[in-house]
Amino acid sequence: MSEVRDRLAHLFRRAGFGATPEELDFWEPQGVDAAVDWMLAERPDPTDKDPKPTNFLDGGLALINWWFRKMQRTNRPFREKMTLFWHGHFATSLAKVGLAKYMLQQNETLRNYGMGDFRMLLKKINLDPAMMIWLDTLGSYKDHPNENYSREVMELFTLGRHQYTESDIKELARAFSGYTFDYGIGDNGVKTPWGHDFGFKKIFSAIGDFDADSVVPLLTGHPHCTKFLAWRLYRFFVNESALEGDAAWFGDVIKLNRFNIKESMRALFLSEQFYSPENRYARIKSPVEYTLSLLRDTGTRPDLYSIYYMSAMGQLLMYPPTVEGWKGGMIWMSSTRMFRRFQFAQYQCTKSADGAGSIFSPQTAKTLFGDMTAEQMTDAVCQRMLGRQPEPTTRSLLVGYLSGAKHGSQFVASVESGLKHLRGLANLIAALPDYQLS
Amino acid sequence: MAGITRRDFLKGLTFVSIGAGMGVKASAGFGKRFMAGDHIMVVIQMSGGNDGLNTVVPYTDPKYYQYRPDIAIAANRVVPLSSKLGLHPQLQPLKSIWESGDMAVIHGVGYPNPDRSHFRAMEIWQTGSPDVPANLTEGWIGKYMDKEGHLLTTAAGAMAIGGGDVPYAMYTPLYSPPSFETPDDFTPLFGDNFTVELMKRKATLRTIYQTGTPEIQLAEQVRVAGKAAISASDLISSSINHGSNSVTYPQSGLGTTLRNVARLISSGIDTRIYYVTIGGFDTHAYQEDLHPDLLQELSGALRAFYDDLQGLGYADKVVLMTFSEFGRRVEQNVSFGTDHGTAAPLFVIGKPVAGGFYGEQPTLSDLDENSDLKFDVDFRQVYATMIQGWMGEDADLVLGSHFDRLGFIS
Repeated sequence: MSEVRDRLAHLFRRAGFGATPEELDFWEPQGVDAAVDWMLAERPDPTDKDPKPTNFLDGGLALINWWFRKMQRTNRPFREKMTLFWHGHFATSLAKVGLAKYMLQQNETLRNYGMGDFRMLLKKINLDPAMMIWLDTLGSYKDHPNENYSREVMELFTLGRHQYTESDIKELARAFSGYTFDYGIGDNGVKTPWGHDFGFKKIFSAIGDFDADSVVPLLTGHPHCTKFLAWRLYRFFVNESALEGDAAWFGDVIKLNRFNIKESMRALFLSEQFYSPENRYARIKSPVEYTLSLLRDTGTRPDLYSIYYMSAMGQLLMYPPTVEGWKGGMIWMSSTRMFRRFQFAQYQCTKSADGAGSIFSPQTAKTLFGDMTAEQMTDAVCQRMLGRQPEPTTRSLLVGYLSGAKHGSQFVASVESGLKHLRGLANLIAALPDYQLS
Repeated sequence: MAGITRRDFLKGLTFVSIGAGMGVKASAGFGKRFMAGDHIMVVIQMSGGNDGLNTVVPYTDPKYYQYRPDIAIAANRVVPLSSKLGLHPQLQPLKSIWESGDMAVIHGVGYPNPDRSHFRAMEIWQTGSPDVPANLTEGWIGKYMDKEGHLLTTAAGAMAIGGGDVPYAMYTPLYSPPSFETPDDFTPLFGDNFTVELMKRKATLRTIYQTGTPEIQLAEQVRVAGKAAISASDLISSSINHGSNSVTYPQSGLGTTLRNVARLISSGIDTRIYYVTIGGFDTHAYQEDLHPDLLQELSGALRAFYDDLQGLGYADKVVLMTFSEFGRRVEQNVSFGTDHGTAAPLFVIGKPVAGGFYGEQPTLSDLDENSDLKFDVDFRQVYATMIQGWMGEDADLVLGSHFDRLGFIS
């Protein structure tokens, strides 16, 4: 595979949810820069017309399905990937929020503001109804204000550990005291004259009658904010074992771009660091990424089992396990979760009723894989799903699996036994260690 | 510190005679420093920061009621353990365990310069070290496993059960512990409906994970984890069918998990450590709507587990400990909850345990600069006692320095 094609595949895996060989064929002559431009460009997205969920008492299933289908079908994959990042960053769970309506509202805030100025996004999230319920800003008043949000907004959303004192937490909690929102309309929180602490607070070295809005410049003006944000983005988009220092240069980029996320990400996707060998295949696909990549690579359709299995693999959208979001990495590879991946791959690769886009439909299978030897067949399906050949031991095991289904010396994808083995082969490839990597 | 009671003495006698008969255990006080063999440890992690003051309640201290006018447990509702301290009413099922002398309450467990972040505090507890930066590649149980080398070679020397992430506590670069919700998770891959093709597919997958040689290092890590998972799955799904239970457990998450733990223990599987997580203790608001249910789930499951081990004949082999990453603020907040605090009590339960109070209950009259409780017992003293006193491994080596053991394991 050419270096350009390899870079494109990397870009599409990270900035979006992967690319088919046909998409890579399209972009290869145009180059990486053009693909980055396309990724970041605005354009009408047909999925914006999808009917929004109206049932908010179903535990969020309609909402989850709506978003999942949007991620799968969107023509703006980067916007959805960014939304997914923010969902893990400002991790809020329906488990406590209770009403999916507020989660939808938060999801739209993340999508609409997630590529703009981070300071504006933070301002919105500070008083976002779902967040106010999740971290107890709702119900916190001037006497003994609740410290839940004030701690997490610094530790997890803006600064990281060791950048503030217990006193900063207490003072910040006073700034966030006394907010409420209209439960019916669900607009962002407003200050109540009777519940808010209007007194002077000392946060970091600043003194003033701060409130939820006026603390935003304090938090984002803190010298560690761009460093921390850069690190969080870097771990999600570049290398999940990155240390804070690895992302230092990207913090400067964010500062230079005045917290504009889209332009900062453009610089990232155009950087040499992004494509350096140690950053390729340096992430474990999250269950959402895994599920979407398998759907894309096989051309098969999702159903509610996609969501069921994503949850069993450890990632139920709208239900991050803690305010820290999903930890990711090898944690996705705990025994049960790994088996759920294998099982989902089995389900998705062997279920019937595929459309013509599926590589398992007889016509498509015949076009793509024709009459091949077991070796050719293994290589062709690996090329499509992994973008490369597996190492020799694995390759010969896959070839061995196919060898029972030959007709003479040829592997005929279009006959029943051949199709069954094509499905089995895709199942096995989706279960390979290499396929778990992004 | 609990003195030696008649019961302890009798317990000691039983211990020696069983040990002599089986020839595997050396009892405490007979010269052998570490006990080898088949002791089992169950760790229950109560995630979110359990409110210690409403768990073991200082029900005669007027300050307790001043600090918590809305959420304090009334003196007439506590389950008294002493003239000053009592359990939350939902912990009633533990009372008779306490009375049999099989439950230790360790007071004021914490460490210097406590961290009030959930994530940092959990890292400190799980790695057994407050060092910065944290070394998250190896936890205190992982280090124990490393020292106890043979456990690394069995498919399930330690396991996390009940769902959730594999805790940092179990990390070791040398071993990837199985983690699952219920043993049903490990029903054979690809179902039971075998065809020739399915059998072949399954065998191919297994061989790929056993013998593959991925070139990318992260893929090799995945392969090693998958190989271990497949072996563990084989072992666990066959073991669970050989085990049994002797009592009925409450219908709860923790109840189901501990039922499975007891079942696995009774199967004779070579698992020395079970790690169980129960969440939800982060009671910032309307604590009294949440905390009682959590404690009820805890005590009901612990009680059933304790009874089950007796019925199954494994009571002498198992010690269980609870912990949470921190306790909560002394003073309630305006949302009728409590924010992140510091030291808190923990429980150690089991027939081999010398019951009673250990350490000093932190006073409400002398709080730290953040108006939080001062700790008395370092959490690593609890670990040292479990590692060396119960599991028979050198705690100084595992923990990297010396911590005085407590007397709850004689």
